[in-house]
Amino acid sequence: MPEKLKKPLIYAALIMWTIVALFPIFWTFSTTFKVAKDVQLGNIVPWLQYKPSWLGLRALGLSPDTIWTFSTPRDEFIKRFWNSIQASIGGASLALVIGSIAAYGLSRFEYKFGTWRNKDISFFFFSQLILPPVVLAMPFLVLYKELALLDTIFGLILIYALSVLPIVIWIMRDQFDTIPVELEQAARVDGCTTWGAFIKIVLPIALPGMVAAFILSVILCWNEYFFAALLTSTNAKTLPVMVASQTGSQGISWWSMATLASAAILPLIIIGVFLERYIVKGLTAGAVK
Amino acid sequence: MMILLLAGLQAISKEIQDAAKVDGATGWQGFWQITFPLMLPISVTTIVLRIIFQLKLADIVINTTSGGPGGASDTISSFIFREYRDRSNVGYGTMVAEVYLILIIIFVTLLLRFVSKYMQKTQ
Repeated sequence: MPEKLKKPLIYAALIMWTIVALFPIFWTFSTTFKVAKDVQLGNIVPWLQYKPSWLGLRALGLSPDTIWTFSTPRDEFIKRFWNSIQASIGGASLALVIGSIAAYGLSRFEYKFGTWRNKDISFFFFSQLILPPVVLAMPFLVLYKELALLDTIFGLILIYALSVLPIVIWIMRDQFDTIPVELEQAARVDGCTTWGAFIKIVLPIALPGMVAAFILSVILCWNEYFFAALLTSTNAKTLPVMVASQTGSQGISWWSMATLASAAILPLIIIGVFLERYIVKGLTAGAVK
Repeated sequence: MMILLLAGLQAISKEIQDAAKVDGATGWQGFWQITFPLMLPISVTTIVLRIIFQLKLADIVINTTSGGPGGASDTISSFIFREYRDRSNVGYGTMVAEVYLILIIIFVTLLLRFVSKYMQKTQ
């Protein structure tokens, strides 16, 4: 192949793939501005095939002409959005605190549990990833009912922390493994306690990995639908459940569903664009082995 | 998953690529004989993780087709969920969940054993 043709061809292939990858997101955003007929006909190009309208945003009370008036759907949307933020950030923070300590222990100390050694304990944590959440659905429902945690944000935070804990431990353990043990020994010689060495020396060095683990956990919790649908009803319902429940008696209101979905992916897009560098940096430091 | 692959790619040092280029390897040769073998452990990890995650797939099925038409697009997870929610068949659903758990443990154990044997062979 001649050199001259090579570059345009590569770029053409890349642009093609970009369009394929981004089309669903574009579709979601554009459906926000469609009326029912355009959704059913599959009109795609704005202004040429259909006239954009504020239907989706008006249904949520967010369009320019209704933003200052009272709107019940908007109040509900804000409540769900806030619920989602609380649940995902709370769950990720809790998992990060517990997971970092567990990973530090696994990386620095020798444990014995029957015939189990550190490697087996790590694999035990990791094996929680394999467990399908649907297996735990009924036990958790009964347990939460007994503990009166049903339909509370705190309950969601607990279960989200549980479900992202394996990933946090996995990333943080590899992160701690890359930090030379001599640094802590030097700190211990200088009079730090084990906890002091951990907090003052190891944590600042492991910060990129912690950021990566935190962001990944927030994203996973944000997208979590299954437990949110099962364990919440009116009070603590999160955004994904609200998106899925836009099927009224008059058919599915695609525009408000699309608006909600756009609002749900917007924070993730912002995180992805601005913090992608930190995620990759944190993972490159040794999480992939 | 792409993040894992990207992190793995960035972990491969540029010097190895440059060395291959100096020895006269073309771009494709450099990819197949240097980058691909070095990436293999990460690629296998990614594929295994992906398989494990997809075994849990339920929410997409429930929300797009709810298992229809006639249960044709049910995954086991979504089937159990619908058994609980739509038919209130808690006993049957729990039994399916237990059998599924046992099957998954067997399957993943075999998968991981196969993968670790394969990795030892390549190294």
